[in-house]
Amino acid sequence: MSPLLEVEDLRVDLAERRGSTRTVLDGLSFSLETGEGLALTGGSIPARTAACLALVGLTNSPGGHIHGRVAFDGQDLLSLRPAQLRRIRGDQIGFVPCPSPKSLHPLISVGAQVMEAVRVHRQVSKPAAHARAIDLLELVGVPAPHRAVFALPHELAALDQRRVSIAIAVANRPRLLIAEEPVAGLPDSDHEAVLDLLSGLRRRHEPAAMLVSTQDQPVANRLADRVLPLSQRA
Amino acid sequence: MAAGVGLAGAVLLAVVLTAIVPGDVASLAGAPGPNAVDRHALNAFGQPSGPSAAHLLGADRAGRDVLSRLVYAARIALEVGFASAALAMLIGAVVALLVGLLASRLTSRRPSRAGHLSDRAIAQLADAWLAIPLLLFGTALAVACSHGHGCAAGAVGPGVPALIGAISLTLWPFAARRRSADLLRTAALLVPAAILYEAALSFLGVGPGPRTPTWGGMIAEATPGSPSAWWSGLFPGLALLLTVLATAVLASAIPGRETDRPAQAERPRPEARPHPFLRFALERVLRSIAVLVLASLLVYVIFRVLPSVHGIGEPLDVYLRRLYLHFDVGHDAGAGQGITGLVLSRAPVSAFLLAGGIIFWIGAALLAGTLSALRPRTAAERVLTAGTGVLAAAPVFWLGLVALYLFALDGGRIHLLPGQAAYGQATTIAGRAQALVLPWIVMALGGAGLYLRQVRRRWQSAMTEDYILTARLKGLPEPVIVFRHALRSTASALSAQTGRSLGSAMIAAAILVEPVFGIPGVGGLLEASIRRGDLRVIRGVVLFGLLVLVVVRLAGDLLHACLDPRVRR
Repeated sequence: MSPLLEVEDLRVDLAERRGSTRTVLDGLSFSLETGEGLALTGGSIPARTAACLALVGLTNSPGGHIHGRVAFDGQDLLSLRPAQLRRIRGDQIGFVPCPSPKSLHPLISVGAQVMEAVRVHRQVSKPAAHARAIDLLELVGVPAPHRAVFALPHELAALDQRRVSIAIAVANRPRLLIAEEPVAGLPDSDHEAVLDLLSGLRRRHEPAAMLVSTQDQPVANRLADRVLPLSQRA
Repeated sequence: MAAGVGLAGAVLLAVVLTAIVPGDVASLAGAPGPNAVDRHALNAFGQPSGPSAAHLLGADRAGRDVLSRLVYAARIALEVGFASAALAMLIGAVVALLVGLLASRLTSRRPSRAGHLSDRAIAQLADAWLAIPLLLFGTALAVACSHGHGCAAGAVGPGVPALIGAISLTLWPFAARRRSADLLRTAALLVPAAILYEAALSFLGVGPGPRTPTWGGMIAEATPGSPSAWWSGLFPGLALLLTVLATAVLASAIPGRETDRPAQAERPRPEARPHPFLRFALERVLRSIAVLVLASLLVYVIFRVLPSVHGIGEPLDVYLRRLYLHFDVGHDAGAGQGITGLVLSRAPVSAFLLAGGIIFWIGAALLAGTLSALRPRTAAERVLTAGTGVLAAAPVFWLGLVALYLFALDGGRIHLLPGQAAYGQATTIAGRAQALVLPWIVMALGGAGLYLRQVRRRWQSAMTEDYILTARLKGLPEPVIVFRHALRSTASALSAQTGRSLGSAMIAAAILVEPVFGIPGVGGLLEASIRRGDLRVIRGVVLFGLLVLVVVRLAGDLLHACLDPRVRR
């Protein structure tokens, strides 16, 4: 049986000013089995971000280029048409993006942002999606989910905003969850809650496989069975 | 870029040389003096002759040589442009110094805060300044100066020093708010603004005087009646456009720090207040009232204190009581009615023009800005950006005149839309709206360039936000990302800015377009009263414009509150 994710010789070039490009990641190869947890450590933060995004065919700035092969379930993602890739993104592969105060839309309610993630991949009525959003917020431990669905992101605590991002990523029970720097930017006291949530999700096989990028050895140890250091050069 | 700068430099050099020795340049071209009347240039019906060997650019309605007047007018434009920019910088520097001193006094315990405090104070001042209709304010200043200048009663001609004073007193906050690193660039950017400003004032009739030709004045003289003598209106506007473009291109080529400041960090408001929307609205209304009162005091001072304005300086308490208790700004002897009534009878027309103009303006800029942000570096985007940039350098009244030459039903090259005086003849609302289509398009074309850049910047910043990446990671299709996620923040940010920064420019455009198209609104009233030298009516129009701008800004703020739930809740 082929592995769930197989990456060969991944290279990412980002567009710089005046048409030149800069290679932020080069020669990354690894494979990930169903049920396995892998931590990407080392390298620079841009390199780890580029690696994670490249797995779903995206780059952090427009005009970037991804070279190499990313096989998901035996299918080469990088050769897919954009529309086909879009259907895998957020459905088969969930993604918790690099934390930032604006990773959730500041003007759209939390519930609507979760519902959107469900309805873009599943034919679900609005009330059903709303109920699913409440379930998801409960699953990730957002307090008072019935009220929180109507809240705007800034009305939630930073920890709960991170939980909402995780809820969006696992909304469609992905087979692979990619989490970028899951505890970055949170106070130390909140780290444990996020790690508990992610490892709990993994134990219940919600995402069957997990890829985490982090600089923290303890985080890697908690969430991953295996650590893959990026070389500093890349 | 380098070629553009070289071209702009060449154009500006030509204009400067022309301005220094206008007599020589004019006589080189074989043209007579600017005020010499050639009776042979008028035919039996009093129609001036077009471009010919005797008059290279034709003759105007009075039989004077267009080229000669054009050349002499260059001197006024440059004199006023550069001197006003310099004086505005000086005033700005003095004020910034005083504010800085005051700030360091106030923060003597924490010296590190002084810079921050004075920056904020100056930014607030510049913002409050935008709450004043600047064109009307400058008109008031120039008019108030004019009568002390020994002109014949009735004829308004403030003279060049008064013009420079009026323009620099209007523009100085824009000189004060930049930091010292950009001094030269800021000063240079004020020059094209001052030249356009001088043209607008001259067009309205508050120019340097009846015997001195100006580009704005020449366009005004070409405006009334049928648009037959196109050469007398087209060439002054072209000269103005080229000069403004050349100075603007050169100014933006001066290296400076990026003037685009990052959008202010949005502060989340975590604690739920009882009725934040009401509170916000109340705060805005109170602030508007404060601006209104302060600005009306300023208007009083202008008409009372500046050189010898006869018969209009009632005591302050009488002025305030009449204005705020009876909405009475005086009695117009000529028309035999109250000025408030006179202005209000003209107001609906202007409101119609302004409202339609704003819709056309915002619509055009939104379309163009959206296209240029989402399809960057395509041919269409380049043409659009360059075209709107050029149009923004053209005075809106000249664009109106050119539109009449090209598209008016009566006398245009292509008989397309109702032109001059069509509004007065229309009886139905549909007919009136039809008569306003051409003015609306002109307002939109003239203003779109200003707004386009803001729209594009908002789109670009929205499309690089982190939540757009989140939306892509969810697998949302691109149209949904653009029109649900990005549009939402773009619209909300724009609504906050539109009323605040563009209200003044929109009102100015409406005022300037009215005389061109013979629209009997407040702008037409202002132009007529300036020609009659009727100070009370002018003051009434200025106060009315103030009220309108405050209301427009308030509406923009409240719209923003409705679009941004963080303010609403």
